[in-house]
Amino acid sequence: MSDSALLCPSAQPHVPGAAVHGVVDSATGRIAYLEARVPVTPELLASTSPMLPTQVLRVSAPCQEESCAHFANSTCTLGERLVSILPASEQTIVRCAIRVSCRWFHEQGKAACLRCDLIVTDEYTRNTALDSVATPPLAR
Amino acid sequence: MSIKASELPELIAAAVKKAVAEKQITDEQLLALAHRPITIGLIAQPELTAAKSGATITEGERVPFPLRTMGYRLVGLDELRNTAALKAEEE
Repeated sequence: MSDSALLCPSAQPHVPGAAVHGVVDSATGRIAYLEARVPVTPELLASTSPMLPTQVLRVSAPCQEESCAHFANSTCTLGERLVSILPASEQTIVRCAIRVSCRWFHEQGKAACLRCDLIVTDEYTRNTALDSVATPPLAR
Repeated sequence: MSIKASELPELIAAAVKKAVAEKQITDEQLLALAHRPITIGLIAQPELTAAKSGATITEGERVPFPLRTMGYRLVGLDELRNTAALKAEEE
């Protein structure tokens, strides 16, 4: 698969081609994955009010590469930090609708999948480890 | 466990209900949401650089509004979400 076809697994819903592939499980606070991607619609986004859609949904969209603060040296540094900073949350990987085209999986492999359900795209709660993962190279 | 698309509305409602109950959203955050149409969207880097006033944003500064974006993020998006800076610019 060419890099240009890869999906960002933690995208913003306004990015063209965005679709939902996960939702925060209210029981665990972790991501539950959909069998198939669900296209983003205004109605779907409005259903998360007053929360941001990205506080509730995991959205995937074509990787924006150089337009994203996390992209450096042809790599998603967010995926790198995810694997290097956070401990695995799962022992086995679960079914995911975007794995075959996921940039994090493409670059970090199974290690990214074992931590992916910890990632809520936008959060207000404080957590030092997650803050470190979220901080892109240019902000360091 | 994979979930079906038809289950999504119920799961969203449950997640939002829990988040609101846990006060994960505050008045300050609601104010930020009101500014969100201003703060998001593709912004070419030169324009973004111009928008980052040295008077309000300094390199490495932690903005007071603690939104953590774990994903696609344009350079300076957090700074643009700084509602205090936005209000100051409007005034």
